[in-house]
Amino acid sequence: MSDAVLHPSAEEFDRLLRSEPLVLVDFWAPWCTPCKMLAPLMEELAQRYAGKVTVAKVDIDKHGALAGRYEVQMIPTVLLFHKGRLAGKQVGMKPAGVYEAMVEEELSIR
Amino acid sequence: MSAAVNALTRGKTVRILSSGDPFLKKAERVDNYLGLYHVSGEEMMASFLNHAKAMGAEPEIGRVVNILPFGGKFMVNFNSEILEAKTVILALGASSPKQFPGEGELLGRGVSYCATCDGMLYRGKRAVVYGQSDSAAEEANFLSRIGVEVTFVSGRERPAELNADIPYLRGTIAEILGSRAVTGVRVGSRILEAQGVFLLRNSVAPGTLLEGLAMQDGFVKVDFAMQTNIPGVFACGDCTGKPLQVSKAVGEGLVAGQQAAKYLDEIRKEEKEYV
Ligand SMILES: Cc1cc2nc3c(=O)[nH]c(=O)nc-3n(C[C@H](O)[C@H](O)[C@H](O)COP(=O)(O)OP(=O)(O)OC[C@H]3O[C@@H](n4cnc5c(N)ncnc54)[C@H](O)[C@@H]3O)c2cc1C
Repeated sequence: MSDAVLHPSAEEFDRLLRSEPLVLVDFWAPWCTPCKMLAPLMEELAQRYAGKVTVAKVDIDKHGALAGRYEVQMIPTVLLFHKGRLAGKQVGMKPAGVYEAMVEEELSIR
Repeated sequence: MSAAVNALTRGKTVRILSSGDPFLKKAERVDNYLGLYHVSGEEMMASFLNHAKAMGAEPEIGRVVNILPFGGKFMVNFNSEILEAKTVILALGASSPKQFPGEGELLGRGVSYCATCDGMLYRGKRAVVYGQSDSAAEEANFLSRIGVEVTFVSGRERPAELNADIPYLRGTIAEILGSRAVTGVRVGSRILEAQGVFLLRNSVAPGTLLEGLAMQDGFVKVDFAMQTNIPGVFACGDCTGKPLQVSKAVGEGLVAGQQAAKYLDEIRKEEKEYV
């Protein structure tokens, strides 16, 4: 696992949303196969957008409250926050281009 | 299998993934396949299978739930195991499932196609398993084991492998209920309350299997080289369109197998291939 992707606690998560302009969050769990498929893709996004977008992963088994707050009913669910505000949501595993488009759109209106 | 055989003859490594129950087995008699006169679908299938086996490719039984292209490769979720491939050939048959009312709208809001993927989200909750696939009973047992309150619904007999303590209802789902999230399903005139609905069929709609796959008139869109809109993904047989016939499936399989082999040569790294 690289350092590019963060694994914040609930408090750290809230702090991230306040301090970082763009945060891409991947809600996952260790038992979820599609989530595992998505992991290398998130790593790559974290490296590619380093300095522009913070990529974090939230294990819903450990942080059920965070999952509940954002109504995550299926994993993987990927949320994008722009200055703390929910700006994008992708439910289920999607190809890389879908997440890139979501990120690029927010980057363009920064 | 035709695609597999033809990729094998070009020296590629092939794995055949199949949920079993090919269409052809049901054909009582096939009279229009050249060279084999008056043969049953079952016999034909057996001889295809022997051929593939003799060349070193034996179908592995299980369900492919999704495929994700990434970094010039493909990750394939096969029975909750992640396989990697450089190219994929889709030979899915034509039994693309009809959606139940409410299915599309509530997908990811309680509707799931994979018990081992999403089951944990329903621990301590009620779920309906609509079990059509060969492994549905096992998946229902898994859900029950992890603490989901399961009801098994199926148009077929109660499967012998289904745990005795799981209630079973014969029938088909008329409607999936709920607006923002699943609240239940209707089977005939009965309403079953549930927060989750697992639709376990042998086949998965091609667009769900591989997000972004272009379709045309309900079939996978391909060009003359059996190439889909996604580079490295080929398709052949009934899933690409009519006529739904063995000769056409076998012929397209040859083209897809050879083109996939050529694709691998072009990317100059040979490794694995999945059908
Ligand atoms: C009753 C009947 C009579 C017929 N008579 C004739 C005839 O006389 N002459 C003739 O030429 N044709 C006939 N056909 C048609 C012939 O059977 C089909 O054209 C042929 O089988 C198509 O082959 P295929 O490989 O494309 O698809 P199929 O044989 O349907 O195989 C598709 C396979 O993919 C598997 N699969 C699908 N999705 C997944 C997934 N997500 N994960 C894993 N596996 C998956 C399925 O389980 C299946 O094993 C008949 C068909 C039927 C039903």
